[in-house]
Amino acid sequence: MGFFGSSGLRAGVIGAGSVAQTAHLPTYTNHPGTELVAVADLDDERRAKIVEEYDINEDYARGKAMLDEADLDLVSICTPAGTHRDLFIAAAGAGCHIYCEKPFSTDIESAEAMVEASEAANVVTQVGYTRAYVKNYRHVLSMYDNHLLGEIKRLKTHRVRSPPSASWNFNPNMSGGGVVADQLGHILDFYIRLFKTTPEVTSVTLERLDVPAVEDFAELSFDFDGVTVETTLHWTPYAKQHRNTIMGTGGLLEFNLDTLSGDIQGETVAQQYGSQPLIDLRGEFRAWWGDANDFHDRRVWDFIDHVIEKNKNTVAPAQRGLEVTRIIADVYSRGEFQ
Amino acid sequence: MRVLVTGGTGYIGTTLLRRFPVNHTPVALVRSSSRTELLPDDIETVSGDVTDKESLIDAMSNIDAVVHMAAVNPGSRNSPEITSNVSEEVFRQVNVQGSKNVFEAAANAGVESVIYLSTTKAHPEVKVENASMYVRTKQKGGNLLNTVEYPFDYSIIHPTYVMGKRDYRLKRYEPFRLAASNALLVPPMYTPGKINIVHVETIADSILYYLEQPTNNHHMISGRNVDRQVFAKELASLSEHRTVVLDIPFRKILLPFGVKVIDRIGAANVDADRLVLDAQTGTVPSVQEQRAPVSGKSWKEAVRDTWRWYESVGLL
Repeated sequence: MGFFGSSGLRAGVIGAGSVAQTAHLPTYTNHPGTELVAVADLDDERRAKIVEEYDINEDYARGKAMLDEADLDLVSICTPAGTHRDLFIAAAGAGCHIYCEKPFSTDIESAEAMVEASEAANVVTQVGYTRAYVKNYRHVLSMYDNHLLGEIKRLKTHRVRSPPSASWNFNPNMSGGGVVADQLGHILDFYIRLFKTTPEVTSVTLERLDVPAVEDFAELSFDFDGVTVETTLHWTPYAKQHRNTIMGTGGLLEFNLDTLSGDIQGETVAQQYGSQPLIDLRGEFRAWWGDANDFHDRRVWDFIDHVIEKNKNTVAPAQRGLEVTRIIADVYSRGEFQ
Repeated sequence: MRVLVTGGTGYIGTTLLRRFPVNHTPVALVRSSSRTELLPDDIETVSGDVTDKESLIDAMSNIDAVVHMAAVNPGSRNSPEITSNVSEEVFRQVNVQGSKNVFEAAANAGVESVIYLSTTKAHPEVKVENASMYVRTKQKGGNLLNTVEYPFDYSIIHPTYVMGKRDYRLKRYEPFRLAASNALLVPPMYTPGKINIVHVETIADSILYYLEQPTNNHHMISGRNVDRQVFAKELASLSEHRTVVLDIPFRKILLPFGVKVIDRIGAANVDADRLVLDAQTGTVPSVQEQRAPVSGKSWKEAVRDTWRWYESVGLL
């Protein structure tokens, strides 16, 4: 607590890499209910830079030491998935509310132990799946829930992007796998939100093309209560595409983190970041506001709000992390690759 | 009373079923193809089809009153003059013969009160030239009540242009989307002319009123005849873009020219072919304006509630 009596919740961040800098560190600084008091990172240089940038009082090399000493109310775990189990259980043991980045865990047994620890400690948890905070995805869910999309006949997802820059992603013990471990969590979380059930994995193709040790191409299909859902994931430096196509009896929508377009009940839908165009000339020309995607801020902000309200029913509690871990484990168990 | 409702998944039906007072029990008539997910969760349903009289006789055992709204509707879009692919035969089968089936089954079941949902242009005091197939068949369906001696009392309801929550078929969406997605509205993005908007809850409450107090007569349920530019300004006021509505002077002369030019360069937001220079949507003779047996919500509230609903489902 600061000299002038700030009464904010004491927040700490373990792992000061890119997601911490995009989502966690700024939001703990900006939210009126929290005070960013501690950071842990093994990289001395990066840690020093963060400490200065965010004016943080306490810094640690090891997350475990921070949890033991810093007397935190809440903590974000932004380290590689292979480290999540120990840090998560230690945080729960210290009575901290926990925001755990995805992938939640590298294996089912660890994920179960993490859920158990958080339940025993009675803490608020959230896993870093983003789609529930992306307006386009929210709008699609809302249109479906309000019966405007009709019955879903098919859903296809393409996620093609450059491979991640951090080397731990290519160490399966740390990452839990390649493009599937990295990307499928977000996607499954959205599917589960849409269909309100978990799927059966019906077919898996995994290939390692250009990266070391892990798969960088995956073609998957799922069955959600009789609806076929196909997912293609690819890490490649040569292309970039992110597209979901949802075909329902009431319309067809294409959407990603930025745009949403298609037809519903015979009417045009065109949105960017969940907003309408500034000018729309019969769909031939559309101009937009300079809106930006702010879902990274909103997801951590929402977690803090839940902690303040002592509401464990966050958008994706640890239990959701376990569900997703189980499906990802199922995918890997079916897909052998060289 | 146990009240059989046909057309329960329609715009008015979904609202009506949610506004029934506790002393009456609605029973929704559903077909296998009905969008039953639009019905309130706890609603009682019975299967049947207005084109199948036997099914209606079965559905009406133990029924005291009927609200008959099921009809083939060409699905109006932005234009008030509707062309439809629905064949004349289907219009007659559903709107005329279907109504006859409903009334005969109601007579057979000893029903006390029947509401027939008609349309603005089928009201005896509204003059219509070149009435559409829809209007003609709705009129014929209603005329059965005036001409055949059925053993029940009835009321014929003529709503004007309905707006409000739960437009699950997005029949009202286009002007809302245009106002939300354009910072500047000029004709033909809004059509010149007048529009008479009535709140869907006012319609529902009026139906419930006449169900208990049938008059054996026609009743317009209407708002004010409003200039469409005023309607467009109301839409614009709701847009987060601070949308501006502009009028074009001498629009009857300039507008067709202007639209053709804009259409040529591919920039018009509506089809030039669909342009109507003096659109009358649900308008009524002045003596028939603002009619309802219940205190209803204003046309502006109807517009706002529609906007908020589109917003709440992720469409605006």
